[in-house]
Amino acid sequence: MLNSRHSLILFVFPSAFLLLMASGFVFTGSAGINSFSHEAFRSLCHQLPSRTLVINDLYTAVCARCLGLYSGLFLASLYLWLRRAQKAVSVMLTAAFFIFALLLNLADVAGNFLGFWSNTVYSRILTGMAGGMALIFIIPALIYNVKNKTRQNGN
Amino acid sequence: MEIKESPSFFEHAAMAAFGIALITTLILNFGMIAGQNSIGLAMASLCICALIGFMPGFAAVGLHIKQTGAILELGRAAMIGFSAGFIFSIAMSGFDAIWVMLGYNWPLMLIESVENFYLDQGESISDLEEFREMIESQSGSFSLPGLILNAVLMGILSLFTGMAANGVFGRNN
Repeated sequence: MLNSRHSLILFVFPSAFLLLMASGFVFTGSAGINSFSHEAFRSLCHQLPSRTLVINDLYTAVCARCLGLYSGLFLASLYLWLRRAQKAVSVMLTAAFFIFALLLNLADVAGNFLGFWSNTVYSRILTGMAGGMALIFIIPALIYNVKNKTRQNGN
Repeated sequence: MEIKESPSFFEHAAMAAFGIALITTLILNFGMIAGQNSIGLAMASLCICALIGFMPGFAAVGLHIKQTGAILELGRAAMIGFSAGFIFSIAMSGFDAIWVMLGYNWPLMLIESVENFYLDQGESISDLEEFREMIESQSGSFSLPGLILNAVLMGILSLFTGMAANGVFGRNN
């Protein structure tokens, strides 16, 4: 099911599109495309300028944490595509990573909000990236589980 | 050659998307109304909604598998997830517009409750003013291409959760 690169395209293309849009096309230097991508993410991210990366004098379309999340989705998808997701990964392991990434983001936000520490652009990007990667890695693990179970039932 | 027809998924995607949009909008707005003097409640409702917001694809694929008993191909699960996310985004925009017409704008209510929290502690945050200005400048503006592109992005996010649901519910089947 996931052994072919064709099915893994389902991960790579959508996540690449999300990352491209989230970048706000800052690398093009075009303010028009940048404002259009901002409009697209309006209800998905707070887009606060003070929490957003500035490249070429343009703001990315999403905040640093969301940019990390979309980067994580893309990097994990790319990894799966290059490796063809050949190795079955334990559901428990990926689920634990998923919960860890979720709690890490929650702790980073809550700690900053309650004044325990001040998070930085890098901490936001990295925690967001962990969340995005966790979401992608759990999918093949779950699907392999179904595949194995179906095979067992067939025998 | 016999052509096997797959059961339609649109109905399940629409049901799941509308159901989740309704739950999300109710939790979000009632949470913000009740959380005017309690930052914990406002933040909790926001966090719950952020998690539920990822669920349309998951719920739609789950519903489809439960109803039809089918084991889905990955591409079909992705398609169902995408449709559910797309419909969810449109439905949420509709519900938000209704709430704003009724005089409830949840981002503004959230800012007020955070402001109250910091005022109680004798602090102020510059980010909040910036956020308030942004929300106020955006309220009332509508762009159809923006809405459609937003729905596409939400659809793509739900595509991933739809594929994950294929693993979870397919396993139970």
